[in-house]
Amino acid sequence: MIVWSRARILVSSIGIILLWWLGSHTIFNPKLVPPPIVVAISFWKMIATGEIWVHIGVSLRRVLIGYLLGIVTAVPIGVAMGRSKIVENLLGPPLQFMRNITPLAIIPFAVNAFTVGEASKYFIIWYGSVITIILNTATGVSLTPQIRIRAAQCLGASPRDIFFRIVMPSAWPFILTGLRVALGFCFMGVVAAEMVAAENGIGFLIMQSRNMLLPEQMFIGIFMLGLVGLITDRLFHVSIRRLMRRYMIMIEQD
Amino acid sequence: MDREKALYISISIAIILGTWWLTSGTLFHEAILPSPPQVAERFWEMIITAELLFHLGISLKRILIGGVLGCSLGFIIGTSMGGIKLMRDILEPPFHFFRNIPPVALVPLAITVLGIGETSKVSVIVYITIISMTLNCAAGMMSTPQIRIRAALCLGASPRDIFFRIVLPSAWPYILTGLRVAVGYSFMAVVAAEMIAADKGIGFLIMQSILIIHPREMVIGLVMLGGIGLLGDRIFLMAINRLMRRYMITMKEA
Repeated sequence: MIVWSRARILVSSIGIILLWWLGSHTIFNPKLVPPPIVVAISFWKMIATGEIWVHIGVSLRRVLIGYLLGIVTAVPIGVAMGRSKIVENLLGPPLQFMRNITPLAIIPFAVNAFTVGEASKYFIIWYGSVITIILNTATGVSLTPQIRIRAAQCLGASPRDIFFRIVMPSAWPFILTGLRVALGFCFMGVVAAEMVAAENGIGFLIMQSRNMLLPEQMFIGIFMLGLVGLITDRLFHVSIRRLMRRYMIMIEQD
Repeated sequence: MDREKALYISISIAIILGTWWLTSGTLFHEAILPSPPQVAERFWEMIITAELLFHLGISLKRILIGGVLGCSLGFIIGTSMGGIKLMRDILEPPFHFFRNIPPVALVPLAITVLGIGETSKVSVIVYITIISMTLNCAAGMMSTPQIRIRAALCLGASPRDIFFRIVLPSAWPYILTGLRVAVGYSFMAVVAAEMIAADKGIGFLIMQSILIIHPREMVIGLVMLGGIGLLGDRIFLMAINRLMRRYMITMKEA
C-alpha cells in the first residue's frame, strides 16, 4: 500500500515518542529524561530565538571547510596510490594503521598544536575524511578494468587521455562512496571537537546542556544532529544518483 | 608477507619516525609532540609497571562486553527485520535516523542518565554496534538471491526452512561484514566514551594530554589504539577466511 510506506515513518516516530514518554514517566528520572512535551516547548523556544540555527550553521561551516580540504588533498594522493605500486606500498601500511585511529583521538593533539581556534577543528575534520577518501580513491583507480585501458590504447589514446577518460571515470563510483563515508566521519569529528574545545556548534550545545543541567536542550541537540546528518546524507545520495546515471551498473542500494 | 613489502614498510616507518623526530623539538613544542626517545622511555616504563596493560585491559573489557551484547542484539533484530516485513517497516526509519547520530553525541546523555560508571560507556558501545549490526544483517537478509528461494520452494521447503537454510546462510557475508564494521566502531565508541568522562582506559590516556599534562602518554595511547585496532581487524579477517572457506567467503584487507 502506497499510504503505508509513507505512513510508517509517522508510525515509528509516534511509537518512539510514546516509548519516550513512558520512559520519562516511569523508568527514568524526569529531571534527567524530560518528557516529550518539555523538549518540544524548549525546541520551539530555541527555534524562535534562532539560537539553534547559529549552532547548526557553525558546525556545518566547519564540516564544509574541513571536508573540502580533505577532498582536495586526499583525491590526488589516492590517485597516486592507485596508479603506482611504489606509492601504494609506501603509504598503504601507515594508512591502514592510522585508519584505526579515530579523529576523536586526534583531538588532544590538534587542540594542543593549533590551540582552541578554528584551525584545530578543520584539522580534525580534515583528518577524519582524508584516510577514507584516499583508500577509496586508490581502490577505485587500481580497479580500472585493464580491458578498457587496452582498448583505448588500441584506438591510439595518449596516456593523458587514458587517465582522464578511462581511469578517472572508472574510479568515480568508488570515489563517491568514499566521499559519502568520509562525510559521516566529518560530522563525527566536528561534534567531538566541539564537545571538547569550542564555544559554539552542535557538539558544544550538547555538552553545554549537560553542564547547565538542561537535558531538554541535549535531546534537541542530538535530534538536530541526527536530522542534519540525515539530510546531508540524503542530499549526497540524491546527487550520486544524478551524477552516476551514466554508470547505471553501479547503482547503490541503500 | 614478502620481502619487498617488508622493505617498503620499513621505509615508511623510517620516514615517519624521522619526520616525527625532526618536528618534535622544532615545529611542535615538546609538550605537544614529544620526541621518539622520550616516548619510548615512557612506553617502557608503562610496560614494566603494567600500567599500559591496565588501561588496555579496561578498554578491551568494555569493548568486549559492549560488543558481544550489541552484536548479538543487532544480529537478532537485523535478521528478524529481514524476515518479518512488519518489523522492517516499523524499525527501519528510526534505525536510519539513529545511524546518523555519532556515538560521541550520545556520551553526555549516557552519562547523565546512567552515571559516570561502566554502564554508560558500555551502553554507548552497545548502541553503535546494535545499529551497524542491525543495518548490515537486514541488508544481508534482504539481498538473498531470489532464485535460491524459488528453487527451495520448488523443492517443497517450508517458510521456516527457507529462512534458516537459504536466507540466513546467504546473508553470512553481510553479517560478517557487519561484525567487522561493528568491531571497528566499538573501538571508536570506547575512545569517545573514555575521552569525555573516564579516569582509565586508552581514550582517557589520550585525552589527558589536552591540558598538556601527559603528551607522551597521548602518543603511546594513539599508537596503541592504532596497533590494537589493526591487530584486531587482521585477526578477525584471518578467522573469517579460515572459518568461512567452506562457504567460499573471503574478505579482503581494506
